[in-house]
Amino acid sequence: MRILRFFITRIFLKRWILVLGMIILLFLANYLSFTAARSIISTFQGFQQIETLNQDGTFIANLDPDSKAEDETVNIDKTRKLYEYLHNNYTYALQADGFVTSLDNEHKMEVTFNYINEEAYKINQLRLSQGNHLNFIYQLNKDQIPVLVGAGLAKTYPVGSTIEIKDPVTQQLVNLNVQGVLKKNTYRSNFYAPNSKNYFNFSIFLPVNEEFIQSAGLDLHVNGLMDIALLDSNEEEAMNLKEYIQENLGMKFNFFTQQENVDYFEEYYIYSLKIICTITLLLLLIIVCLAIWNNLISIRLMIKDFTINLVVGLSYSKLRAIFYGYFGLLISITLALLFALIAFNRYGFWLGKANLLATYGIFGLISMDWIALLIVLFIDLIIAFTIVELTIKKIKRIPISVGVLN
Amino acid sequence: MKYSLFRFKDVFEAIAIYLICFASNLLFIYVQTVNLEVSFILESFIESITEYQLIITILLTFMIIVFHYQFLNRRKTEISCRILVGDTMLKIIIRYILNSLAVLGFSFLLSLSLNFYLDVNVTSNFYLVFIFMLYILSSAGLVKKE
Repeated sequence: MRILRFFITRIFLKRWILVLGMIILLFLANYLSFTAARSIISTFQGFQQIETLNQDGTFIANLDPDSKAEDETVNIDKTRKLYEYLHNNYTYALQADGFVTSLDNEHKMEVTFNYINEEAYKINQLRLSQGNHLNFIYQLNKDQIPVLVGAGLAKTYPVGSTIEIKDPVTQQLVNLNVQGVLKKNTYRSNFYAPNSKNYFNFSIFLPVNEEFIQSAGLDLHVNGLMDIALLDSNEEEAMNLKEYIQENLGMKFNFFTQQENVDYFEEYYIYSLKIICTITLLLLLIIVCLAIWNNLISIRLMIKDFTINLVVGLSYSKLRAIFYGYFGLLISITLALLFALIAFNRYGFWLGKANLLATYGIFGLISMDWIALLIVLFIDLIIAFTIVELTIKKIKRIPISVGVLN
Repeated sequence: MKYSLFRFKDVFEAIAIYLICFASNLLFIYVQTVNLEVSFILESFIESITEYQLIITILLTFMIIVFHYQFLNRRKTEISCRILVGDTMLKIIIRYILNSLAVLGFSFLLSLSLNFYLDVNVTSNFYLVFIFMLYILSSAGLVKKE
């Protein structure tokens, strides 16, 4: 330890520009690997969530990119009729997120209402930290509506409390009864962008039944339709619905089968992840080459000091250990910088009151950040091994006499 | 480059680092113009890097400081010898600045081919040239003898 401290303070830090250069390169390598690792983990998590929908008999609606929703053809009467038709002829999962409303809470965040029907609720299998699951049997204007609240609202609205609020989609004054609290960082991945997530720490899950849907406004009807999933259905039924929507609302929806979805997602994910990995590897290679160059020029400048120590009894194995210790320190510094950057970014969502991005975690970092950091650490170890071994090889190739001459 | 402190290897190293800095800056600008909507995953990955475009580019330019620092440290003995045989410090410094600027200019011209290939505005790298010129002028203070 003393010899390591001696080398760091008396030899490496004597040329601090080179040390700073190495820290910058390691930091860039770390940030790049972290971004790639987190993208891959997040995509994988999203894919796992979406996979629950990829079952036989499930058809997921997707608005055709060429379809234009014409305002004059879509009105509340038509959408009500459509949902009635859906209710009578199909089993469907409906979930519409992101209806923002203001509701007092200790973090002064805006709150989003997420509307979910029973089928979608069964598929999503939301996990609770307190309370009970939702029930969907209630009368809109008579009963209190049981709801689930996100972890960020649990202190202000604990289980059993009631919330009186004007519902954003029915525009009616409703009485909500908090039935349960969602586990921290419960999320939903975007169906077509699985690496992007909405966190429900400041959301309220409101169960919707047929009566509620019929009382809701056009916003819920149209938004709900965008990701609607037909369950236990077949191609003919999906085609019928497609034609029904096109005739009545003038909107063209595609309903993809399970196989089509699996094929599309696999091709889409694998293509994207391949490109991400290629870009990351190429950039990492350039950065590592620069780091190796930076270290080799350090050797050129410090060879005199190394030789003196080798002459007075320092062995190559001890020198190797010193280099590993030195790189261990540099990696710790860069990881600490990266950690601070991620924590600051996560904290930024709280400061910016981004209610769908604010998350809970140890030092503000969530599980996928920690996994990505572990991957970064592993990549750092490979980089450190490569650089140190090349450096030792280079030092061994320089004759002691040349070093002494220096 | 008569009487220059630069050897071929040094010129090669400097050009390589300049080109890495210029190319990374141009690629950052280029990817922002490419339509990546077909793949949201890729788009958000690229965005999370381009978000820090300026910081990353400036950090990469630090490699040029490293280059000049190590170069001038290794040339101290040579500078002493040149002074012994009649050269002057002022002339050495002027030659060093001019040679460094020549290498920078050559690298910039080389990087222009990437500008044209990617169809990115030729002025995109101007700010980097300015930063590098500042580095060269500052590093002239490091021209010292042993």
